[in-house]
Amino acid sequence: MMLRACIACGHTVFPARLRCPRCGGTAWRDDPCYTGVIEAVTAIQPADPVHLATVRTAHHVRLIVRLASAMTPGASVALHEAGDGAVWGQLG
Amino acid sequence: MADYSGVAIIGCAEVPYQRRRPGGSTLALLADAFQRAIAHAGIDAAEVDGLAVASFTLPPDHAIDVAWQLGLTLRWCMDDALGGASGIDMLQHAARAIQAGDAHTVMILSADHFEADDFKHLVDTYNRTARDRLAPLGFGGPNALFAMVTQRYAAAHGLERTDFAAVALAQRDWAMRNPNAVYRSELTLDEYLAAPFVAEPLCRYDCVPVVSGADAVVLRAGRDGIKIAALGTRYNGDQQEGDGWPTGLAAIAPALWRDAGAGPEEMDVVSVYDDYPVMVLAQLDDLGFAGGDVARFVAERLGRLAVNTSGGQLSAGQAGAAGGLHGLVEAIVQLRDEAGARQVPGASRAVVTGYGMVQYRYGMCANAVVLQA
Repeated sequence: MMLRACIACGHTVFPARLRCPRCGGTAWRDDPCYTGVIEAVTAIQPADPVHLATVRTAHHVRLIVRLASAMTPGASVALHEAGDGAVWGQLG
Repeated sequence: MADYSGVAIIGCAEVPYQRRRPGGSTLALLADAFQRAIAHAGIDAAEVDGLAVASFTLPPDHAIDVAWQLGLTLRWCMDDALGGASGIDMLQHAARAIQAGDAHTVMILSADHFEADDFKHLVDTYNRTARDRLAPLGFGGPNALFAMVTQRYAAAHGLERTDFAAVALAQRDWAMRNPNAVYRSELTLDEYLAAPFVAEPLCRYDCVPVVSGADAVVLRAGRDGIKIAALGTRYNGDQQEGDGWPTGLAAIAPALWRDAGAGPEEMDVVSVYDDYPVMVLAQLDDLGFAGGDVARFVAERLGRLAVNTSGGQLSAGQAGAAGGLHGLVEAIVQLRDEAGARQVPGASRAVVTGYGMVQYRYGMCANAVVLQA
């Protein structure tokens, strides 16, 4: 998936925003991100539970990610952005 | 300028919250709150020359349309979009308008009427991020987000589920003495712990019942009424790059208490925006109530503080944007000695907080006001 990195100072954000919170820059580039570490998980009940996780990337950006099944904090996930804007994580 | 002199809160109202309100409407709720508030304040509608409105379900109408609906000619008019922080935000703007002479008597109104899928639509389209990044996950609303904040807050502060239960139980205790609360039956720890998860580790008692309802506050130039001793605001305080705590209240608190000339321990009544128990604890800690040890605070102090004496949103209900005014109205009722069975005897000082407007993982807004009878 793609994070956004400020061209002026390198600060990384997700979701994208207009001005860099660190330096005020307005030029951004895509910053590919392939993995992250789960910090927290939850399962939305009832019926078919939806598993969500808070995932921290190497640049300390926090993402809200959907998991295909229950996982635990500390686990590494491979990240993938679906066409509809959802970010998915799976074992990896 | 910290001075809010020359402004007085002269009345307030709440239209009783209902889980279902067939045939109801947001406009009808606003009008109802208006009528109750002017009666409570003892004023004529014609005296109102300022209006502030916060509502998620009012569109396509806005505050100016509400003015027209209510037959008000105004000098000052605003819409507020800060959700759970809207009440104190409108209070601040209204007070400054009165001090500047731009208005003399201001009506602050919040209402929401929810039918069927209204609430689901609201959470899925709350802002661009919710629409484009959260709804596609099937997130179903903020419960899942705050479930994860709860998890990390608990780990960071050495808290168990029973600590969060303490918030829900204490507030339900107060709600049992509030005839307008939608949840008024006794809630035991066993029931809390046995309740199925809604979004683990949150159960239904950690989540506000969504209701239709309205709240109102009336301010007027003058000295006769409840005064604003201090007020602080902080929006997008950590650029949404933090943990969800500390909230903006941590930065607001020092000046708030300095301006109020009083500290947390001198507050007779506390209304903290309670979308979730974790945020109640986080805000109380940030305001200085917990002395840096939240676990110990819950064990030794929480039960003896008058926090969310209406039962809060967790038991009284969250009427959408009116949740931003609910705690303020309750504090005013307490300071006016009108709280009946739940009256805190001799209440003369209150602190009220606002919080909300979730941007991706947690709320962006924090504000607080100290009131003096």
